[in-house]
Amino acid sequence: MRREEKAYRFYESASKAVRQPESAELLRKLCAEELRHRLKLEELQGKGELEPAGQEEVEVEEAQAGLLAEPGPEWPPAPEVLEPRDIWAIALRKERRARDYYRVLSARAPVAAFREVFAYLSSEEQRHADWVRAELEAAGGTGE
Amino acid sequence: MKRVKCFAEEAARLGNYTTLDAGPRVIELRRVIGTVNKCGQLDRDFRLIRRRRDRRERFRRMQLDNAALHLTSLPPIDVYLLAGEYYVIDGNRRVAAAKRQGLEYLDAHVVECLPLADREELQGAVTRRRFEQETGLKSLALSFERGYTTLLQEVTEYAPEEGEVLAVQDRARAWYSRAFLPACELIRRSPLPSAFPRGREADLYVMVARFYRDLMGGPPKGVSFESLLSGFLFARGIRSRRLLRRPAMRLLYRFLAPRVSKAP
Repeated sequence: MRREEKAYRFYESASKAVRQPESAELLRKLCAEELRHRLKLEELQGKGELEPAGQEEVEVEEAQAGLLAEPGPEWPPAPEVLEPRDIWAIALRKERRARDYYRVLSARAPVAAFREVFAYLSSEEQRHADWVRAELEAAGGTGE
Repeated sequence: MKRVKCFAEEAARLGNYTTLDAGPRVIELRRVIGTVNKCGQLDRDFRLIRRRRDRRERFRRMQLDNAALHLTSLPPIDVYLLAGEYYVIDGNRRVAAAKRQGLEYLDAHVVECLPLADREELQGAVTRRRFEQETGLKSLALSFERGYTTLLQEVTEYAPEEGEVLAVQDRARAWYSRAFLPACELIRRSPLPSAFPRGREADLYVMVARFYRDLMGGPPKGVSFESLLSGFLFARGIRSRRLLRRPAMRLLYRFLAPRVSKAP
């Protein structure tokens, strides 16, 4: 949830910084998406009860474990000082990282319902990454 | 001796105005502070000033007192509503009797007077009237009347239990008791009222609903109001208390904490 909150704040301040209406609209849309994810996770958290029965121990690579443990790169606190291309580049890194993060969580989650939610969130982040990559390429950057 | 306010004098200060029939309502007696056609003749308790010894008047007053004492409901009075205060068109004696009996509320047929110069208020009143007519909900008061449009959307889109098909006004009642009142209870316990002390709970409900409408075209399906409120508080930078949810969160983290297994 903290990741989604950070992403929301990033897109919120970035949407105020960009001048092109289309870019601002996309950033606003991403803002809404991150908040939607936060709501979904909060609902999941509200259900509260985890059922230990039938859990599978999932072993993960060290790199994946690092992804879970690390809070992720700090987003620049003031994206208004950046060029739009920089914003899209950071956003793309963020979305890809979020996608990988949820992918690992969906593999590790002990409850089937959680696995489904995390897999869904991972696919959502991939979708966002596609939007952002298209915008980055339009701004003259590369999505690699 | 202090007298009740005179509608003609107060309306003259307002300038040109239009009227809107707000229909039958239960009104607060303390907000009935003026008269339309007995200007200068009534004191603050709506008693005639110069005709106290009139035997017919005293007889009428006694009849009304007895009616109230025997719990016979007084017929509705007719009033104008002007700037949040009521002016009696018909029923000055009933108001006097109700005041003597110490009643707090009265049935009334209300006609609103709206200044033509204040387009926002006019628009707000029309929106409220539409909300009341379509939903039948008349006790829902907003400080900012333009919010009735949002409330009407909420009622229209409210989905009761699965498979439950309800007429509009039944759906409105279901929305009011199953969605709106519980949401207001959550709002009351949240830091939102202290962040917006001028807003009523219904205004704060509208604020949350409108936020999600503006941002994502409406609240996502299947999300509880508790989560929506928490999301709104976060987005607005208002600290929320998550005391109840902490144990569940700790439990979730315990399961998801990284358990690294190094390859041999």
